[in-house]
Amino acid sequence: MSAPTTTTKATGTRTWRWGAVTGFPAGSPDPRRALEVVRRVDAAGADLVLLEPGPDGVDSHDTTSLAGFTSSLRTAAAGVVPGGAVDDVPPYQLARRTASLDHLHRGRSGWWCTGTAGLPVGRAEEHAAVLRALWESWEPDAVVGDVAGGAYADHTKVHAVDHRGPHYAVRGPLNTVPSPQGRPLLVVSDDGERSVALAARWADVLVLDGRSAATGSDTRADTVARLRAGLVRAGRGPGDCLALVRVATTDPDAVEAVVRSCGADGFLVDVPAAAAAHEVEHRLTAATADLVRVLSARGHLAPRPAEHGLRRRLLEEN
Amino acid sequence: MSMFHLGWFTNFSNPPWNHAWAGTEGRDWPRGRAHVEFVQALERACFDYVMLEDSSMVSDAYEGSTRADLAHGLYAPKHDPVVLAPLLAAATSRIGIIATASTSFYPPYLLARRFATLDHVSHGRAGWNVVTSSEDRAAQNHGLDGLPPHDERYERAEEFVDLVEKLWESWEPDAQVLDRDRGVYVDHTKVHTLDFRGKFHASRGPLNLQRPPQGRPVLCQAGGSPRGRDLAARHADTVLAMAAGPEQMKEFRDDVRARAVAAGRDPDAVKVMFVTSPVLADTVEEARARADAARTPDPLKIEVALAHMSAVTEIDFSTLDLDAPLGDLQTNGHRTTLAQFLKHGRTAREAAIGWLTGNAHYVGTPETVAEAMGEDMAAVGGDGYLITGNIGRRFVSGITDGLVPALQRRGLTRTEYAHETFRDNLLEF
Amino acid sequence: MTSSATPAPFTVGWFAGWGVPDWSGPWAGDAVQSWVDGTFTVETVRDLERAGVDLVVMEDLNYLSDVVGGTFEQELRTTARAPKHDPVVLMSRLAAETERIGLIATASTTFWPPVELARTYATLDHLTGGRVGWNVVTSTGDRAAQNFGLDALPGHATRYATAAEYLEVVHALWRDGSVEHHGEHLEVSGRTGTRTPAAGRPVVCQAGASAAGTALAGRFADVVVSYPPGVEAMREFRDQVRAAAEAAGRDPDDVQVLYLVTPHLGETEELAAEAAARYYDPTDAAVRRRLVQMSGDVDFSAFDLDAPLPDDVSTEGSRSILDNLRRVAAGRTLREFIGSQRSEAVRLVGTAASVADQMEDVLAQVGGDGFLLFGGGGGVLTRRYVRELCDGLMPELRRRGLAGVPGDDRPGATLRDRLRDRRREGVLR
Repeated sequence: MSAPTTTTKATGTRTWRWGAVTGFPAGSPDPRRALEVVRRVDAAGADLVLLEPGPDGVDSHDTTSLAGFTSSLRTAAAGVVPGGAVDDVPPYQLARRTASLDHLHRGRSGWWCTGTAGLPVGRAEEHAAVLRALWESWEPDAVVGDVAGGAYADHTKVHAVDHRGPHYAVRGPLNTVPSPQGRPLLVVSDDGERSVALAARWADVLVLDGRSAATGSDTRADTVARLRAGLVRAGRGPGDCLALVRVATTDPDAVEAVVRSCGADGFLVDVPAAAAAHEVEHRLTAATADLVRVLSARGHLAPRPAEHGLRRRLLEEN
Repeated sequence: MSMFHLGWFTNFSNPPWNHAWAGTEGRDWPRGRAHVEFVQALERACFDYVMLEDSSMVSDAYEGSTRADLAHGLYAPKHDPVVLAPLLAAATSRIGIIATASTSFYPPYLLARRFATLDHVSHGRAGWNVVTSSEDRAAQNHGLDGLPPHDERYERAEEFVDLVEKLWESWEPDAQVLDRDRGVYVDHTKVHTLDFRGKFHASRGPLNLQRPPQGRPVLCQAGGSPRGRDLAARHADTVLAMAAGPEQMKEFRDDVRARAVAAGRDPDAVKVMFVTSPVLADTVEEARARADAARTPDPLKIEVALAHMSAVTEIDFSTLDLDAPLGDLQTNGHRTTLAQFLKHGRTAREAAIGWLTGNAHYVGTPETVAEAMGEDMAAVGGDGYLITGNIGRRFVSGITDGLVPALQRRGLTRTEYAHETFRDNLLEF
Repeated sequence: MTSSATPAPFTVGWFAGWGVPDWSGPWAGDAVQSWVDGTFTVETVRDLERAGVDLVVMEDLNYLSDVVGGTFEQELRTTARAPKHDPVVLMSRLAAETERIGLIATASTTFWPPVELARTYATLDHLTGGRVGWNVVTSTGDRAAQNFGLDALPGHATRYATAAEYLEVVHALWRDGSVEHHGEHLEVSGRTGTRTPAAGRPVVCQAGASAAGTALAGRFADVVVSYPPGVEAMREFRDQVRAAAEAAGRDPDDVQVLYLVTPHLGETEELAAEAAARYYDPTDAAVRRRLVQMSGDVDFSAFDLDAPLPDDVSTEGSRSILDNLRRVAAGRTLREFIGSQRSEAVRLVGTAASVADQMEDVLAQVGGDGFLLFGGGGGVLTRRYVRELCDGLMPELRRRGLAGVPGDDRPGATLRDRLRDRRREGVLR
């Protein structure tokens, strides 16, 4: 059928990016419901689904396993990104399992750092640097598959990391092949000035909280401005890390107002999957049908190809 | 050397059920999963298509009994490939899927509609293998006493195909307008009545569905008789050919191409695919030993071959002396198949074994077979091979994981699909 | 059928890692790419499930070694141990792609935080409907430790003492959802909230063959992975594990010892023997590959290949491996005994029928409990090989009522239920 046409562009040179945040707290009805949530949100054209650990950060199903489970939806174009805290697992293990997950999702996964508050100064930054070093420890063309010469990979393109910092010591390299999208996507939640600086230096997406009026639109606008400035200071383009604002509402006018008021690049709508089945169904319908239809008609959303991995889908212009 | 195409010739019937690598598919195949996994393996190896032949009878031509047909699972059981096709389409994204349907038994409108729908649900990957059928036993299942004579069947088929193509074209490509403002779903001025009245068939039209994504599904033709070749030359996108050695192959291909030119078509639009069943092993010696073992004339194999031949020719080969000269045999059924059979030997015994193993043109390791296929195809001028043989997982894996990578390393077959639709891929080279 | 009048059903599993299968041999297909996104393993495990294999054990390593010659070169040429993805992540995918087969993944007690491990396997237990298992390893290699902030791996005794505490902690978390543990080696205070379903806890699998490993298995394991060389050593090892279970107050029948084997099958004994001869041929490449596999903390490539293994080599990482090596070598030079030595308990070569005979005979001598089919660390792992096992060997075992028959088909039956059922009831149908 014919694709909906976009007539105007809302902000900058891109239409909005959008996705959903969902979570499966311990004791929630059936974690296998994750498949349904991802399938529905993906079918509505979402760019990504973030899997959130439990409310207090502890009592939750393992988000990495949930993300791996949903990779069985081979047709899905949306990325699925599990969330966690910096020190849930050692950085080598995190870098490796995220790389593995990104392969299962054919270049459409990553890791969501859900918070940096309470960590010693410098720890989250060093953590991000170690992740990056491990993800890049194999050069992109290290795998040669040379049958005649009997070499699977060229060892001169695989490098030890030899990181020794105040918080972490990791020798590396990673013992697996580089991610299909270069490196998995890194998402960071905004929980203060340091997290914004962290995102500006290392991340692909910064998640702002737009769920309550408590954090006002001025604060969020200020955060977005600091992100853009931080990106430039870090030698990156001002659009190289997206600001996506998390919303609790599915009302198109409200979502439009929240995104516009802070100058974000798009939004993430909450789909609390632990609720009763009919509530989840209602929420999914509101998010995937009504909200998307109206915002598409207003030119904010447009379908985008997914061939080149999640990062390119998010960051490319259109 | 430019690239050539790959297809696989099989049907929706039992995979091998009683040999070393048979697994449990003898029991499970009607569910279709084995066929789905088989076609997924072909797609991984970038095959152009799978072609599913068909027939609609339990044959009693051999011994006047259904015993041999059913004991060996030859022409029955066999399920409907048109029903299998959407399952295969849903589990794949690029490979072409050709199902067989008979011009002698299908009403043209029903066939046109069914394959148009298949083309839609497969996103432009459907194909129709045009057959006229060859057995009275099949005709008797469709309310006829017997089949029309061979040449009349082809005359009917020509008209049938003309009508089906017209039905597919009865909707202009842009008939579906989806005009929200005017409230118009389909523009009726772009949907045309045919009022087709031929010598054998009539249909008013139009078809009650949109033009297929490929315009018309790919047409495949398999009969090697002069009438069959003419039909192919006029309508087919791909032609199945039985030939032994590059000279016969070239002769056949040149003939089909000349007929296509005579019919006013670009000869490159007709892809000739040569049926073959390579024998592969880790060493050339082992492959030769396997090929030799297949030629041991044991009574079971001879019965299988003769019962097969009886089914498609409706000549009772059980009455013939196995070691007497075969003499002059005539059939109203599969003439090309009978002629091929007779070429394989002087006596029924010789011909049976020769025919069973006659597709083993290539015997060796994946590397040596790939080399030989490339050389032959270079001598012939192109188009491709239609692999046949049991669709047991191990044999299929030998082709898709052994032979095809060796062909790909030589640049002889594709390593990825360039296009979305079946015909576009077929015409790519 | 041989040996006994009443067949004694046994467990058949599959042992592999999420690493590179045979990517360069004649039947490698697209393995060089298709392992990377899990496709190869998903297809393999679905085949195994269809064939009635009971469970899959996925091994793992947490480092890229430069022990051989001080560079990554040999590791990356041979792919015997690297690259390798995290198998725990793949289990979550397999949870969605399979319905019955047991899924056991390796995780290290030395490197995983216990709360995260308990949470992850509890989630997997939910996602698989009670089919998940944890293969407990304590890791080897200082290089692995250096990826986790340590300069060197803790000593063998410390690792195993820690592992025992760790297992207690994880079981408490699975049972109660929270733990407060102050032990000699571990301080853990935390909660997951994710209790495992009412049916029980994930299956525990153990693979170390040292005295400490055996003791750990006796206390906690449901399944033990092993490859003692030869029937004698197999029986001895199984007796040790069962004694350890009794010493820990458990029913020894609750622990199953499974032996690694790499069967070589053929339609005839001769063809199987040829396949085996290729696999065991001590070529230079085979020797290199073997050296890499063996080199934990010790660079075996540094030893004189034409002299016996020195007596004074000792390593914290792989004590049991070295002891085994000296025993198997029996004074032979390194080249003489490693060239054709593989990680397996016994060699199984022949037709499906004769390999089934051998399996039955071996277990009759050893006492039980089953086998883990192993593609030689990627050495022979191709789709073709998997299909020989699934469509050749497994149906034969099934026909004999030995394996490939679902032990417990009730909805909601867990992996542990099925293992227990196989062992105690030997349900056949």
